[in-house]
Amino acid sequence: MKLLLKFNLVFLLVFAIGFGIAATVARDLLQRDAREEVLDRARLLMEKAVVVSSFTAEHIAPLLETQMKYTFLPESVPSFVSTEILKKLQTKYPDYSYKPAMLNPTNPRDRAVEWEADVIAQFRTSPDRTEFVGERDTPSGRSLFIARPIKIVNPACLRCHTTPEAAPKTLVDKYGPGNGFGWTMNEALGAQVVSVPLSVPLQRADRALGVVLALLAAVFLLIGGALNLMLWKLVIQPVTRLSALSDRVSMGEMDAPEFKAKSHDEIGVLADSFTRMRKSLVHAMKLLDS
Amino acid sequence: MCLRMLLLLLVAVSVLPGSSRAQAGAGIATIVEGDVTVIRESARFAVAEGVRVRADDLLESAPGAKLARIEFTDGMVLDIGPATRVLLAPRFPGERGGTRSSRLYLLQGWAKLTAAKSKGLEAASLAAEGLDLTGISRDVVLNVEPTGAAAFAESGDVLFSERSKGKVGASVKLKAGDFIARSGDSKPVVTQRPPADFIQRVPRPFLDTLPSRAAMFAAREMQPKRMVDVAYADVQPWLDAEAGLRPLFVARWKALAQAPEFRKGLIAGLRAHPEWDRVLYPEKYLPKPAASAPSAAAAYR
Repeated sequence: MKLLLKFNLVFLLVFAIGFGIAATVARDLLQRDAREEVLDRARLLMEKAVVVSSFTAEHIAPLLETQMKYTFLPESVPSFVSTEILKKLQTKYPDYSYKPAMLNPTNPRDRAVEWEADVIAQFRTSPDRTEFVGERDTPSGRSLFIARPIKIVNPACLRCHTTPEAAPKTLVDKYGPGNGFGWTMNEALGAQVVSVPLSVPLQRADRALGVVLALLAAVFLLIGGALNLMLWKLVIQPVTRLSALSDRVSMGEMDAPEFKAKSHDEIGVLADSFTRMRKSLVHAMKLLDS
Repeated sequence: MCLRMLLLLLVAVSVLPGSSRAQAGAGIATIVEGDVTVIRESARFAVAEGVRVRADDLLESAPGAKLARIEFTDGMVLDIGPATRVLLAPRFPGERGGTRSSRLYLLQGWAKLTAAKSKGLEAASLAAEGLDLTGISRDVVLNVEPTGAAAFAESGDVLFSERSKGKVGASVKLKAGDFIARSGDSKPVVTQRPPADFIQRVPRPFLDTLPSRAAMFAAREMQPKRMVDVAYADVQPWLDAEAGLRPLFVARWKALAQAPEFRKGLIAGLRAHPEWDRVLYPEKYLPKPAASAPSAAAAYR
């Protein structure tokens, strides 16, 4: 087996092992980063919904107080406003969604679907739990969701949700007496759920991984090529020439040209040693002849 | 001693009903959006923000006006909508001195009265043709149109009573959110919620929670700009108002009856305001000469 072949076989083996380890580690890192990024984005959306809700409760609802005595304005309800604002966002980013999912909502559109009800049930069974993160498949691909429990902690908010008799008349006019009543304090009544697409960031991470691995392979190939070239030019080619010259000298061809080493490296030292040995051999042969 | 007496007299005068009457009518126009005027005595004045209004002022808004807000010194707030005519602190028959049962009389249009939270219920009341709203605990909206009247207890309770020929009927308590409507001579009907067409027609600014601006004008009094002397057409709706209110205007505009145009109008519409007959034709009311006088003289002879 030739030296170059041995060298390349070892090189390819090292490349394959290194490439495999690098690909695995890079893939894990990129996918974890993608998930973290998605989670951050989901939390940002959730915080935005919370901020919009609190702003509505503190600043918008008091301004609409008088109007509410004539007609119920959903714009005074914090969760309605945050839903509407994030719905506007959804027109540009259709895979992002926010929903205040409720088991017994005032507004029927907030009624929890099956999987949301499961999440709410988790909050009901573990009252100390403040967040739930999960993944699920959607028609548009894999999606990550983050959920936080909805609880009534302000007794003033219960006014609209204990009994139809106690609720503002305009609210009952709009939504009827059958929904959104019987709520109690500090109970997980629902969950704010933000869903963010996961497939796109994961695809992006896979694309990044592809680029990284391609670059890694290219670097390996470049290094391999350079090493092969250097091995050929600096070692194999001089050694082959020296070997051929040695063969000629050993066959008695004493007038064979001298091996001229251009470098002063180990090959150059070998060539010098060979030249010296050849000279000694010629001198010895001359002494024998005389 | 004389000084002490004088001080006591001053204190006594200050607590007399007359002073509370002046206070009850005193208010500041703090928001004026659109053409709003006040008829004071026999002249019309333009109302601007900062203008003071007082008892017996006739406040009127043009059909295109959006809102005029009067903030009274006792904290009560009156909002009037477009095409509205309001008499501040009307005096009904039987009310003497400074005693005035209502804060305002709405002849036509839209009015919203917001009672001051700290004041007693008796402080807040308003009237319209044949009806009284008393015991207003917070906000009430009243609409008077030629076809009828409607009131909405926006927040807080209010007592509704009908007034006929100077007699006040039984009161109906309206709870917050209740609505009462009376069309023509029919009985008033109370519903739990105002109908959609009423909500549609309520002046938009009535639906907003506006902060008080009285402090802005407390130290800055604007003088109302005198526009014109009133003509008959300007005050004719008031002259033809309900019988209980009309005598007030006879005393107020008696002098105007000498003006030809005004007199002509009064005569043309005399059936709607018959109390002016005595002013227009005083000779009809002179004491008749005694028919038996000549015969008595003859007897002496």
